[in-house]
Amino acid sequence: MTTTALIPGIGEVFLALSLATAVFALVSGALGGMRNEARFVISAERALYATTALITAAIFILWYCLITDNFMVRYVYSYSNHEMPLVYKFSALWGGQDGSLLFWMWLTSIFASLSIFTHRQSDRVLIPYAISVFATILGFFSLMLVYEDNPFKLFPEMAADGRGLNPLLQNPSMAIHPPSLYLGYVGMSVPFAFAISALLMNRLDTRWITATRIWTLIAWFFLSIGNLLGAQWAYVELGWGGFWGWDPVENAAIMPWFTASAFLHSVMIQEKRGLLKFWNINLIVISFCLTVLGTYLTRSGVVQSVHSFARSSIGYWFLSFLVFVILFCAFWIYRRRESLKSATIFESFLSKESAFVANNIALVGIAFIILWCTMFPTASELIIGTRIIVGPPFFNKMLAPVAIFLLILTGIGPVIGWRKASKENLKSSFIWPTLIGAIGTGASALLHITHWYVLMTVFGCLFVLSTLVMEFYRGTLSRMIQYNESWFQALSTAILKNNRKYGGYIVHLGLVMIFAGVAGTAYKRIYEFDIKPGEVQRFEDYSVYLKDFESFDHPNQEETYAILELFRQNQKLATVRPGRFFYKQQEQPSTEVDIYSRWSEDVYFTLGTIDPKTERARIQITLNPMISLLWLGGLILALGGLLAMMPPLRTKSVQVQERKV
Amino acid sequence: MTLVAFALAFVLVALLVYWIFSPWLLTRALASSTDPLLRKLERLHFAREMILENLQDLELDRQMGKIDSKDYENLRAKMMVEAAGIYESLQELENKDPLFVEIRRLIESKGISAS
Repeated sequence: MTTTALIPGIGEVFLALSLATAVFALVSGALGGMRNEARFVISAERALYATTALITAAIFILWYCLITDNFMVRYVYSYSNHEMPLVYKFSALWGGQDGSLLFWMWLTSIFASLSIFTHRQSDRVLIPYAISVFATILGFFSLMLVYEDNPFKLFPEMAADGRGLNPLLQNPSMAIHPPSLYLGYVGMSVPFAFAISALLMNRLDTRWITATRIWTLIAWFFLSIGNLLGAQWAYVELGWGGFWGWDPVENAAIMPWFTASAFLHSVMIQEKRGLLKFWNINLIVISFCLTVLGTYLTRSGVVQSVHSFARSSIGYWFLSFLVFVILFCAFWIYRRRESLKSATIFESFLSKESAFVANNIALVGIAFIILWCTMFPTASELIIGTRIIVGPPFFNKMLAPVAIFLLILTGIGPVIGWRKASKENLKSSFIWPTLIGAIGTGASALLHITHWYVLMTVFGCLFVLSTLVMEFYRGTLSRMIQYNESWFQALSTAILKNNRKYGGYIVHLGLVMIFAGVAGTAYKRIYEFDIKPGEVQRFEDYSVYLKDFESFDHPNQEETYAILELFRQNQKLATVRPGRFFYKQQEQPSTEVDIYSRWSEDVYFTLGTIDPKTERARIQITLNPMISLLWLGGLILALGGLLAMMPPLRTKSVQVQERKV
Repeated sequence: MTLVAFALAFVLVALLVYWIFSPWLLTRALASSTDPLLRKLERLHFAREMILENLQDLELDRQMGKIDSKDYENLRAKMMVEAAGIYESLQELENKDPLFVEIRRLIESKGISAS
């Protein structure tokens, strides 16, 4: 046996062994939970770590095969070639179906091992079944990889060269976007595993929530980053001038984000008030199921998408797993219905709790609207035999009112008190934000902004922004008075002491900017014209001059660029180079856009076809107002998420409170 | 070369299997305590943390003008009664449990400060 065949063979053995260790961890963990015997739990824990080690070894073997161009391995042949840059050979691991499933399983195993290792002492009661849940997930993936989608399958002989990675995936953000999204997906398995363990052990107090708080935040953070990077990729790579097309795969990625956001808010009510136990368990099960459903949609071929994987039978695997998870969870939730009753009651409709419940309804509502619209073509085909396509305008029309309602709630939640808000509180908290919002909306209307949802977004953004400023101001002021601190010290201590709360506010600030960026798309303008070297074309107060074309012949692709000079009121702003690539191996063209960014708008250039006879190139220019706010908002949202994840500043206040009691 | 590799792989797998299975040979120690007293204690500690956090939030809400003084007084009184109950139960439990009594005796005999 040659080394080229032996090494992937070892990878296959590691995969098979990981299935055995995962099954063992599942059984031993369950025995440990049922009999409460440490020896079974320790053994299950070790089996889980061993599973992680084996999958890690398999991953490194696949990476090794990709980097060394081992085209005897079918996966390497299908998603890599000699000419591909090293970074794309590396990212080819998640470029195809088999590799991405292996990668997914690897991340799950790392999350599983890390969470079990860090909580093995502090949350000993939940560990046995949590191991079993993780092992079930890992076992499912191992089984599927070993019997259905083995990434180490070999050809009888070594191929001369591979087919290479899909050109659309040969983009820097594609090297980060899928791992980030996968980290978000698999991160949801940690709160899910601990929640199911709490359910099985009938330990449904807040322990599982406090234990998994950080993991939920990590999952939410990566889901946010993954979706934003996906939007960024669509914007710079797909060349249609937009960032979100309500494609089924995009929808599959954003749905768990909405339910995870709802979960992050509703667990606070359980932690503080002992309410919503039933809802929280259901919400985490829904979030986890949506990650599985997303994978099913992407890989089964039931929905048509520009970036779904090839139609394959693994869709049935995911569907079966999904049905199993739903039935199992439904059974146990029903069995524990008495323990899932809330310990207290809502004291007033005017309270933070109520605002959070409304926010949960909006967030989960959005997720289900997206799910419904995504599944509608398939459902219509099943029921009436005709595939009715639901396009972006329908999504926008359905979601805009709920999203604006959610935006306004983002302003209400932070300023309203727990349990019972006073009339004075409501008056002092909302008069100014409402006034500022109304003035801003009026001013926008005077500036000929007529779309009702843009006007409502202006109101919502200003309302939320004002409440956030007030919240920071009041927090700082109360410390300045109470502790005689300078404003800077008061502000920084308030933030660091209550980092979860203020991190959340910064996330809200990022959301406001994202809403503003999205609202700007209502005023997007598109210009299209033919131009040849030496000619000038005008649009609005801009003009472009086509200087020349440039061509390069690389081993992997041929590149052609149009060298354009952009002017505004006869003043040169920039030289831009939109291009078209032709990938030789795949015989596939791709568009490489160029963007001139300003705070107020992006000037987005796309090069269409070039007529070799007349030398006329088709150029499309899209003016995207306020789009930079979207990306900046995303960055701020990520920073807020990071702040919320940090451990809080330790102070003596708890001891002081304790002394008072 | 291949034979050495296979032998090495076999040894590694055998070690792995031993490492995973060896805890089964251990004595049957409990994975987590089933003592109802300790479970109650754990629950009370949780409840104490929760009520302290709620009191802190209430204080913060008052400082930031989110709650009027009448509601603040009412809620605070309710929470203080709840907190007092938790502390009382905790103390009662710690006095009853022989383990805590022994720890306290040990502390006193060695002159270690409990704080």
